[in-house]
Amino acid sequence: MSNLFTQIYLSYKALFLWLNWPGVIGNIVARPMLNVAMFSLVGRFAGHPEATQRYVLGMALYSIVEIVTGGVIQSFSYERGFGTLPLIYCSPASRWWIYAARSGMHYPNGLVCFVLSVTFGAIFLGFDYSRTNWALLVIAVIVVTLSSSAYALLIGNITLLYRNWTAIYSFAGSAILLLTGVLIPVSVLPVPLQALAQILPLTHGLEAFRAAFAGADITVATDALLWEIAIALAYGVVGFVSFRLIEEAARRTGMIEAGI
Amino acid sequence: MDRLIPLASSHRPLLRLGLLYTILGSYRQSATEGARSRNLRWLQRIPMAIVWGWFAVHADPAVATYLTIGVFFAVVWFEAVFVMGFSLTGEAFQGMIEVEITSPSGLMTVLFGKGLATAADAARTGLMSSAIVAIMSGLAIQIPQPPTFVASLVVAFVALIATSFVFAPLIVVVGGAAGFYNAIRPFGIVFGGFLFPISRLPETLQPISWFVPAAWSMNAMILTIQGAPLPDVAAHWVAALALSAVYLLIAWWCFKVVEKRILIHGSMTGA
Repeated sequence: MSNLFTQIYLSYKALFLWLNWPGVIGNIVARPMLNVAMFSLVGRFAGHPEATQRYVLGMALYSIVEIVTGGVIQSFSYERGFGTLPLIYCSPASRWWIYAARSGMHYPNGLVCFVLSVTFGAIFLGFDYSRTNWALLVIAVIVVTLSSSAYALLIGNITLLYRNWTAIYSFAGSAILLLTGVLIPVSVLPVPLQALAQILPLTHGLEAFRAAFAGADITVATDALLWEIAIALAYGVVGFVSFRLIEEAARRTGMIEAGI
Repeated sequence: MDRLIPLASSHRPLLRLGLLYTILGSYRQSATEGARSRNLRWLQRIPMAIVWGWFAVHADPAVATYLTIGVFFAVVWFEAVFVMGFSLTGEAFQGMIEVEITSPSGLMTVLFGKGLATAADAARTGLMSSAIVAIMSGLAIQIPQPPTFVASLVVAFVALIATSFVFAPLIVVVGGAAGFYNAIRPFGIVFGGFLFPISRLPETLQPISWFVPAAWSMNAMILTIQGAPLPDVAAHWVAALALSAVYLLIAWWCFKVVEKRILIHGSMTGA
């Protein structure tokens, strides 16, 4: 267990290049709040004042995906860039823990981003929390952070094959922003995209999360939460299998990096 | 650099011509290099343009016009501040700093030319994003005073370049690091008024935008769209251009600090 914590800590410290004061303040403190401000104010300006609450909630939850994905994807990329990937492949350590450890310290970052986003919404944008079901809210946030981590780990594998991690990060974030109902309701998307939305993280979590803010009972959101957990597990399994396949290919072809 | 290579006053016009050549040359170099390394940057902006377009779908014509124009500037800002922000460290990484600092034109002139190339490159992506928003809004665009509108566009572009450019040396002077721009980008969009008028910000936050040149130029844009009289619009142009000049002065000072550090310590950070 102590090896796992060491792995989590070292992955974070060595492979998360936003871990400096300007980076932390910029990404974990300022960006989530500014994004909430940006989208909710554009929404008001564009004549959707009633939807402002929807945008604040969507962006608050999206802030979790944004920071977790950014952190985890760059961990994969820098593992390869800094030349430590061959050491991972040589190590006898459990591959599952190596894989999962990369998201360990990004998970709390996601929660911090979320808290700051909703606090900003309350102080500056007049967000109303009076009806919130706090128990459901906490469960929804924990589940979404879990599914976001699984999504980030799966996407992170791509950076072992393709160098430009910022492009992958951008596309991964855009897919969530565009398709899961963060800003644009899923129901107005073309039918194939609606189907795609159902298998992306956040879509169901957002449903439970919004129900929590509307004061709904936990039973109302049980299905959505179970779906979100199932999606997290599926991404976890597919991501880990991909990680192993890439390693196997690297061993088979003798190309440690981008072995496929 | 005058300090290092004293020039007689009769040589000043020659120096100015040299500066122009330097700006043009570094523009061409950066444009060529940018064309090679542009990669998928333009493609990355499409999803966000669709999101902005969604906001414009049911908006009234004035709002749709503002969003269509604002998206252009938001995208240029998004690209330019990032690329310009890393330009100085990029030059050092490529081993060009020594050449540029010993050139009579100086570091700032070279990077200004490169900054212009970055802005021009970003403008293409910005136009693509604007086109997406315009199409999604059903082309519900109204421009009541075309000449004033064009002038407002030019002023806004100048303000945006000046603001972005200051980050090239500033980021080195303050020791900014990776990830810093992820906050600067939305900061500029929120306080620069690219996608909504500054008057829509909470009152407690509005004073921040008074120090952002783009906020004044975007206010000029709103007044133009609303058909306000020319003197009102012009007052905002003047404010935007004056603030832009202040930003360029700050950039000049920061470049001097960096040059001094390099000459004395042999490093940009002064370490």
